[in-house]
Amino acid sequence: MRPSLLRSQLRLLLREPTLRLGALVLLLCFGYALARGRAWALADAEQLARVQHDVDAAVAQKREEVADVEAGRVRAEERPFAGSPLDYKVAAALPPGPLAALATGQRDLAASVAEVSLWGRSDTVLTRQSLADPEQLQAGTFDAAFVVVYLLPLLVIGLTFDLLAGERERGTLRLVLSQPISPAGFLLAKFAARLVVLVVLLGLFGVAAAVALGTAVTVALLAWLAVAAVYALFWSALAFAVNTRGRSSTANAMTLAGAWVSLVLLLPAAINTVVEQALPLPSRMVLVGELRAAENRAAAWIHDHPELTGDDAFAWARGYYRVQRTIEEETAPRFAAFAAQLEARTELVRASSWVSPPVLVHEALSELAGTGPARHTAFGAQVLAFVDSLRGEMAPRLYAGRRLTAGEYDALPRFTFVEEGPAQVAVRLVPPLGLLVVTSAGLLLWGVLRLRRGEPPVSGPQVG
Amino acid sequence: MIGRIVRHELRSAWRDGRIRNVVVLTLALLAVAVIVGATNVRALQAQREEAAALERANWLEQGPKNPHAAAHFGQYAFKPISGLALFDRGVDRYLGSAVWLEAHRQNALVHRPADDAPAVQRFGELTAANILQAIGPLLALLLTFAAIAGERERGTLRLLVGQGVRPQALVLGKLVAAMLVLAPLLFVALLSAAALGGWAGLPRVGLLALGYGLYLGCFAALNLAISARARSSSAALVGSLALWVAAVVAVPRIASDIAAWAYPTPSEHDFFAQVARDIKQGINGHDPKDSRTEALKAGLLARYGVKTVEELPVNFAGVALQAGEEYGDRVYDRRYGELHAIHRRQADLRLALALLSPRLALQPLSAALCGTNLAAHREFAAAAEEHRRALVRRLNEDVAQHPGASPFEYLAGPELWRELGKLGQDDADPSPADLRGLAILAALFLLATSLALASARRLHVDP
Repeated sequence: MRPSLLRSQLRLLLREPTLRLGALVLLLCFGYALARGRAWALADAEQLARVQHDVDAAVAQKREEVADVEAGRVRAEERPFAGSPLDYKVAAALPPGPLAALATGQRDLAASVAEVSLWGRSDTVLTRQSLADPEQLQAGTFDAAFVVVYLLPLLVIGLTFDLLAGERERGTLRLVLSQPISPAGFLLAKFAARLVVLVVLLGLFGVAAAVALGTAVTVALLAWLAVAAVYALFWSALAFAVNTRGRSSTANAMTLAGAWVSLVLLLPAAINTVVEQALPLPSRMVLVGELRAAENRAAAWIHDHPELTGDDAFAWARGYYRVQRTIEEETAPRFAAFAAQLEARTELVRASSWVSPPVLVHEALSELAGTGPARHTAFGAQVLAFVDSLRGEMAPRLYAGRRLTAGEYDALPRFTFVEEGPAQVAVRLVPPLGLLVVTSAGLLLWGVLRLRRGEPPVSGPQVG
Repeated sequence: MIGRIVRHELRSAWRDGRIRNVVVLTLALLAVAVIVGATNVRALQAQREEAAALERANWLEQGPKNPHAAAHFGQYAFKPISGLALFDRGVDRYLGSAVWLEAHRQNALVHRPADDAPAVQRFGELTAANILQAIGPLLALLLTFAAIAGERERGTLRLLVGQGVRPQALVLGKLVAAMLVLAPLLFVALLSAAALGGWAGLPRVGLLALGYGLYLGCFAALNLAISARARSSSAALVGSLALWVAAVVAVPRIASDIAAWAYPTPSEHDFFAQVARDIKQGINGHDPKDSRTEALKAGLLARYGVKTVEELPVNFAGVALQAGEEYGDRVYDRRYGELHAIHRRQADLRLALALLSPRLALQPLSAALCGTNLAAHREFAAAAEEHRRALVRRLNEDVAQHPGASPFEYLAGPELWRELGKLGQDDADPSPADLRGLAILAALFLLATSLALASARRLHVDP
């Protein structure tokens, strides 16, 4: 392919009304998604700050109550529960990812903040009493990841479905091929021109995103754009291959639309169905019943062992705490089975994403934005680990009836989310994305070989 | 005349291998979806029954304790799943399935099926409703995009008009033919759903058929309008595909987004913090809990003409608990009322935007008829809350009826637990569904048909 050919194809492409309209619509969609995503990420950050503030204020008040008793401003008998280890609370928050504005991911569904204390059980820490509008959750947000995964391929299809057939149907193909240009070179030039335009559009979006988010062009943003570009490459290569089959432009459009519906709508829904049918989860409702049965047994047991609760001000709290731990111990195998099945589901989805580019790219875009399932799962695990460490610190005090002093309040553990290293994310995402690049190259090669063999594409069924 | 056109169209649709393949493929998808849906619904119903029986036993076997402790133990209620959920899960996956009915708190439902599903669920579910909503219009597109433009390209349009076929009759005939090809899909999906659901919802299935028929009719008519005006069948295809993408994929998302933007839902932290503040400081902010209790005590002492709570013929703790409960109920009624008003405004806005996409009218209609929408969820939540209030009131009364030296030393036993039934509303008739979507779909269908007829009136017979 000669550079001059690419230049002339680019010039032609830029004059096409389809491109102008399509690019305009895409950029408008990106702009809307970016504006909404930014507002949404800001609101999210404010919300986390508010929870943090409220929890800190509640703990500060408890600390004051102890300080009052310590300073003799209030008699100890008036505040029998002051300094109770049960009253210490931490807001464990998953900070919004660096590019949260670009992909909603799991953020509207999974908990990104948990109020951790000695109250309650591990199974309730991350359970949400959600008030969210379910129709919004079902529809999904109009984020930049949606624009990439759903709409970008449509622009690709709109620009490429009649690469050869269009020329043939207009009768210009013969003219072109009478010049010293090979059909493959000609089609590759058209393909490359479209890819250049798509990459430029993504680049424009990247710059806009960097400006809107007030960050520099970071590695994460570049990686995000690269994933989108790989996805655009895949669809362009697919369209290229379809073009070399030499059908009419209508047939090409139908084939590509069918591919879009199958890959973007049907295959993910089918994966979802297979995962749910092949790996059914134990019933949450039955689990609730089992937890409550365990609670009855644990309460009866603690009732028969008053020596475990003592008779000081913390007797009730001790009994409560022991009952909760007993319930957890008894139901641990049930939750372990549940978690194992969830893990198996995650694995199956990950395996299926090798054959489903939209699923893969959607997950990759979410992961890079910091809203993906892996980050949320890691958050859940870290919160539970934190709960354990907090219990390890507090339970001995509770059992010994040792109150927290005002000074101790300041030195108690706080939660910090530990991010996964970029290398680990890369290990997960690069191989399947690599396969996508290889597949795209394969599609291109297949098309070029077809053209070299001079099969129908050039002469075609209806030469103008 | 129209009859002949319809017959001819049906014959050529039957001969078109592409259409036959897509119809068969869609039927296969629908069959899978209905079977999977039926299996899931049966499993969920069985799980719910198991959980409810377990929970009933838990309540009865809780051993002797103070009634207020029993109120804190509370009961769990599990949301029933409607039979027609096998056709359309609606928004059920994004709504909780269990609610803890306990003293002092009107909890929201927890355990949304979506919480435990992999992220790929956000691409949508393979339900019969989703297939008909997304793939149905594509089939309509396949049947209609070339209907006029193709005849024009082949030169048969001039021939037909020359023979005296009125363009309007041609468009109408092609519309009827497309609907007749689509009808079996609808009936197979809906009748199998009705049969697996036990025929109880047959009238609702009829309304579903009407709704989906109008929905697919909208697309068929719009595609015919596009086909009549397009330069070529390839241009008609691109135009119809663009319409499909906008109406089926893009607009529903944008509409939800705009609704959430216009009427933001409060976070659960903010909502429950506000409730706690209201209860602590009074709904108006000037009626703190302590002074409410003091006033209650003073009133009660005056009523019985005694000086201390110990002299009262009732257990003051029980009376105070119930008073606190009733104050909490007022707070919850108000705050949940505000929340529901926000959800209602969001739904109304989305419905108003249905002018841009019939899917926005069909989705809530379908979920409402299948009992898987927010209204059905809320109906259960309201019944559960009514049960909670009655339960806690009875337990508080029992505390109040047992005065003693220490307010909570009295222990009640299994007789009282047995007296307090469980929430039973399985046999209740579903409330009438919101049918506004149906009216909007009918209006949109008429609009689309008149557009198609208007395009026929100004038909160019030559390419």
